[in-house]
Parts: sequence; structure tokens; C-alpha cells
Amino acid sequence: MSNDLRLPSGKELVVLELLINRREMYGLEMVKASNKLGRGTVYVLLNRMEDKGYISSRQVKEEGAPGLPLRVYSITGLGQRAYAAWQQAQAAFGGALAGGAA
Amino acid sequence: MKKTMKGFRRYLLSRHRKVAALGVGICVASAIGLFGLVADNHIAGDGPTVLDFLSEGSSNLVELLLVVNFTAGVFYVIVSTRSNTRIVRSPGSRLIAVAEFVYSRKCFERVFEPVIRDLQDEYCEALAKGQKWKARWVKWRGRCAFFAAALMQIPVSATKLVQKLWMAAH
Repeated sequence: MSNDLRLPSGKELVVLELLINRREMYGLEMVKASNKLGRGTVYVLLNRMEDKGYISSRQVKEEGAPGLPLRVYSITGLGQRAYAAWQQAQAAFGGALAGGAA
Repeated sequence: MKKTMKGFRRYLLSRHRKVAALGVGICVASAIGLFGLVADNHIAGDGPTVLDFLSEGSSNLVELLLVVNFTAGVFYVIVSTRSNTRIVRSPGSRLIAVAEFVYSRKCFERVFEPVIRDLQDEYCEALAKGQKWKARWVKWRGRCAFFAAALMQIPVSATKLVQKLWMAAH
């Protein structure tokens, strides 16, 4: 995990914004909530964000339920700071930066 | 006895494809055997012809066994093709095996497991609502999502591997 604070990319911002609003979400929920995220790419993006330290995830295995466990994502302190930094930069540059949730 | 018959029927229903194939196989083998025997007798001139056999039957034990086999084969085919119950693999089960083999445990758990979980969730949801066509569409869309994730993950995993090797070497 790296601790250097870099501005998140467009899709990363979408995820951060969704997680700030709803605290915990799973991948398919994010895809359905936003038209910028795809089913095939969302988990690669979430994996990358987890490596960067913006989000954290945990597995939820329902008792007695068959099948694979559900993975739930939540935003970390670093993710919140990165999002706040992006908002400040957005305000400073007058909306010239790309990104943001759908 | 009743329990045994029930169990046998359930077995036939659960393995309908294999049972159908077995039934066809038995039918074909029996038919070939019967035809061979009758033709032999006919050529030798001392046995019944095909028409004789069909009209009068045969007391020959081997022929009788072949007829029983043929009937059993027909029964297998009828039972298996009439069944509405099918036991199939859950969608994505083979893809899981491939991803587990190719990618690291961490990557598999974080990227591919959720993709397959979503596919299975949506597929079962569509089936539960009786939307078979939607279920098929969901299955294909899920497979595409899996391959898209796999393609996107290749450079990421490769870079990490090279980085690890580089760190180990220096």
C-alpha cells in the first residue's frame, strides 16, 4: 500500500463518491448505481484501488448459503482524503479537472 | 421395493443425458446383434427369417436377451427424454477453475470470484423469475465480463511479477 496522495482517476472518483454516500457496497451494486462502470472492469479497478489504499474489502459468507462469498467494499481514510483533495483541486481549477460520478 | 424404484427413477432423471446415450447404445447394439443372428440363420437356411422372427418370436435365449436389452434401451431413452429435471453445472464453474490456475490467490479472490458470483446471482435470479432467455443472456454477458477482466488483469499481474523478480534480483 502506498501512502502518497495522488489525485484519483475518473473511474476511481466514481467509486469513491459512491462509497462516501453509501458506506458499504458490493461490485454489482456499484455497476447498477453508475453508468460509468462495467461488469468486466469494475473488479480490476477495485483491486487496483485496494492496492493503492483508497478502499478496503471484506468477504461476507452467509451461514448455510451455497456458492461463492460476497465481497463488500468500503472507503478508507486515505480514500476520503484523496476525494477531498480532488474536490479542492476541482474548486481551485474551476471545474477543469475531469472525473466525477454519473 | 417402492423406494428402490423411486431411487432408480431419480437416478435416471438426474443423469438423463448419459442415460439417453446409454439407451441409444443398448438399442443399437441389440439391434445389430439381433439382425446378425437372424441374418445368419436366414443365410444358413435352418432358422427363421426376419419376418418369421418378428411374427413368431424366438425361443433362443440369446435372442430373447437381445430383445430384453433392446426394450430396456427404448425404456431408458423414453424416460430420459421425457424428464424435465436436469442437473447442470452452475454457470462459470469452469471459468473459476481456469482463473484459479492462471492467477494468484489474492488476484483470484479479489477479481474473478466476485465476477463469477455476480454472474451466478443474476443467472439464478432470472431463472427464479422464469426468464430463461434473460438467464441465457446473463450467462453470456457474465462470460464476456470474465474475459474482459482476465484481459485487463494480464498486464497488471505481469507487471507485478516482473517487479517482484526485479526486487529479488537486486
